[in-house]
Amino acid sequence: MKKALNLFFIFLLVLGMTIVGFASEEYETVIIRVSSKGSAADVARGQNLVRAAEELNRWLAQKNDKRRVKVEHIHDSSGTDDNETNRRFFLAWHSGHAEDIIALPHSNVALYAEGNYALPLDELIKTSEFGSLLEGIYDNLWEAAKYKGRIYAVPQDAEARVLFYRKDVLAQMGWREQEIADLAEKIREGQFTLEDMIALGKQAQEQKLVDWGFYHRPTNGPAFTMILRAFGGEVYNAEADKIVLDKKALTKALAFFRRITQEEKITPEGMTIMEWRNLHQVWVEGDVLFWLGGTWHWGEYQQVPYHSTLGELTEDYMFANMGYALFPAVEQGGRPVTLTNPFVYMINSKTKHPDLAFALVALASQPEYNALHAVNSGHMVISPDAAEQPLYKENAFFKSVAYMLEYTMTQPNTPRWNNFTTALYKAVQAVELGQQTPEEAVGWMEEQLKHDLGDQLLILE
Amino acid sequence: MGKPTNKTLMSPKLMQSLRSAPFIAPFIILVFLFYLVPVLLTAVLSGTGMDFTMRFNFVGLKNFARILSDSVLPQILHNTLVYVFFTCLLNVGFGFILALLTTYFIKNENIGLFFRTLWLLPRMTPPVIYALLWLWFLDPTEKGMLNVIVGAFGRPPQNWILNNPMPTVILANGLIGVSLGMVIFSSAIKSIPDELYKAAMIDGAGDFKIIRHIILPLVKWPLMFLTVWQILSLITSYEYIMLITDGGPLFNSEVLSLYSYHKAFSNLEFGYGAALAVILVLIGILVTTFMLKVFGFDRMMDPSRLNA
Repeated sequence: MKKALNLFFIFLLVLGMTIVGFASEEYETVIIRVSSKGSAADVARGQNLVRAAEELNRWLAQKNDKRRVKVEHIHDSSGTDDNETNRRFFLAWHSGHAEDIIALPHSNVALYAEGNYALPLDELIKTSEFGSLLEGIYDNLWEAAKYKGRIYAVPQDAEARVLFYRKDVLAQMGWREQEIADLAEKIREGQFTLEDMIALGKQAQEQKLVDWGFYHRPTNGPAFTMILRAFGGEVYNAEADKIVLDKKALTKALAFFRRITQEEKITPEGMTIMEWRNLHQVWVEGDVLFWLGGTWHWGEYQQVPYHSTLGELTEDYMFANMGYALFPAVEQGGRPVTLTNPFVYMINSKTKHPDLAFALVALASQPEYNALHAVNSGHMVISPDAAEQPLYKENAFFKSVAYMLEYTMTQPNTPRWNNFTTALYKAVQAVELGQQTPEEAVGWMEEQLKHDLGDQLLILE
Repeated sequence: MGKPTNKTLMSPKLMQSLRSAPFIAPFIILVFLFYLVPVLLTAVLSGTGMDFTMRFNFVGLKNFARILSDSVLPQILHNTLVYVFFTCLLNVGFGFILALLTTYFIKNENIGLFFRTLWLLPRMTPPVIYALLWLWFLDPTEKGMLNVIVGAFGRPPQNWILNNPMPTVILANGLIGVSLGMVIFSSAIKSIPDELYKAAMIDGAGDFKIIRHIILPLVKWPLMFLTVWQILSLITSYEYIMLITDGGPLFNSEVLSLYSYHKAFSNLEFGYGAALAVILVLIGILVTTFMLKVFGFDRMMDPSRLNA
């Protein structure tokens, strides 16, 4: 009897396992691979897609769709430049191993579109049930996601480049509290110019309150284009679809870099080979007065322990000691500037599941997801609805930088853009190191770009 | 007349070649696959305008015409020459001195071995780690190791790499390459019969004269082999430069092989990068032919006369 009972239990067990086995076999697990980049604080660029997969799977279950999505996400926070990321993606794409979704700055859209690496999204936006989730996204961000009139990407976030300044140092220099509080507004109105910034940086250095007056980013990036634009430089002619070399403005902009490093010496001449970590540490510890960073650093300093004694900074500490403003106007009464280089999601044109990849991107673009990423990482949201999310709306930092959107600009979407930014960066490095005069550097850029771009270059004398 | 047999058709020489084929075939296949095919592929690529789209659009000799008008190329060729010459000098010269020290001057085999092993350590270190050690050692802040040392003498911190990019990459490459020369020269010096030293000493020769008149002439062939070998490998090597200065600041430490890599993989101009690589291959072939002729490589391959 006992034996029969045992056999019965074993039978039940086997039956149960078989049923469970069959039940799980009913679903097809679809792996969607995602890669994103940015600082460690930007991880939600991809993690939002992981969260969106849960929502998508519920929807698939409701629709009796047998597929279930699993997102595998890799976030690169090592500071890899876009060229390297693109090379990896392109080579992987040709061998059929590239990820399904990639999050990158919009300045890469033209490359991905021209090389057929990214899936055109116009049709999916119109026909997919998830297309309506993207309706609220700001028009100017959609423009950044287009190439030759077609949409190749979905905006993921935006930011503003800001001029940070140390309030504690200004106070030590004898500035009254109200004067410090008014600085951002004075910059906005064009009353505090680039000249004033240089003078103030020099003064703080002379008073031995800081080691350096002004820092800019060490590696190639959009900040240099922004400074060129601040000096009135044209960089792209949309009608002719050509990159522009504006020699007059370039000479002025490069003269600025020469002045801060070689003449006023408020910036180290080796600024372009400084380590990022070193730079952040000097800034958070108050050894430099001005630092041309970005809104995302506000999030980064609260999450990455750059300060050798305080570690991660609290937002209260940052509000007390750090201010931020637009990049000052070149002349009294002129217009200050900022530049945004929005991140976008692009879908691999070879993905086996374009509908699911698109659904994930659309779901992750919903206000609650987007606001969460924005607040955690110091980025701006992509839609008015996301801006209305309590988390974002009540955030003091975002309230205080919202006005910057009026002063912002983007970089052109053209495939050869990297050639221009690389040449500009090398020219900045040459004048900062004192190896070339601004005129020589402009001459060198002209030679290089003519060589690289041929008739795709327009020269303004 | 009967049918001719196979034996009468094949010459003994051909038979011998066929018999040796299975032994030499794997080697020939490997050389073909890993040496010849890449060169051929590079040559084909150099005739295309392949860019980030990775399409084979043939443009003829356009890339080579572009090379002629590339304004940074003279500086890069100059850097390559300086880099290859001084690194090779360090590799071969310092390698010889180390071999002398650890075999001729230190007669105790174990102590010599200990020092030779020490010099082999960088070879065993992964290149990225080795480069990182240099970066830490030469860090421009006051926490950099070399700055700590000069700081002890009251000197302000220096930006070593920025101010001396070429010497930095030469030193880093040279010191790692020294070990190969050291090992080869050590075995060459050890193979010199003791009687020669003894005879020289009886004749009243000092260390310098022994080195000048006995050791140097007898390590002539290893010296030449090593020089050719190092020059060829240095022309095409760039990994330590890439890791330490990445060719910068500006193009101050950019060499031709690194420039080819940058054009192909950073700018994604694969066609142009391949054309630069073809130039590199041509330079390599020219240098090899020239050196084999000048140094008489054939004579080097003759049996040693030392023990004859």
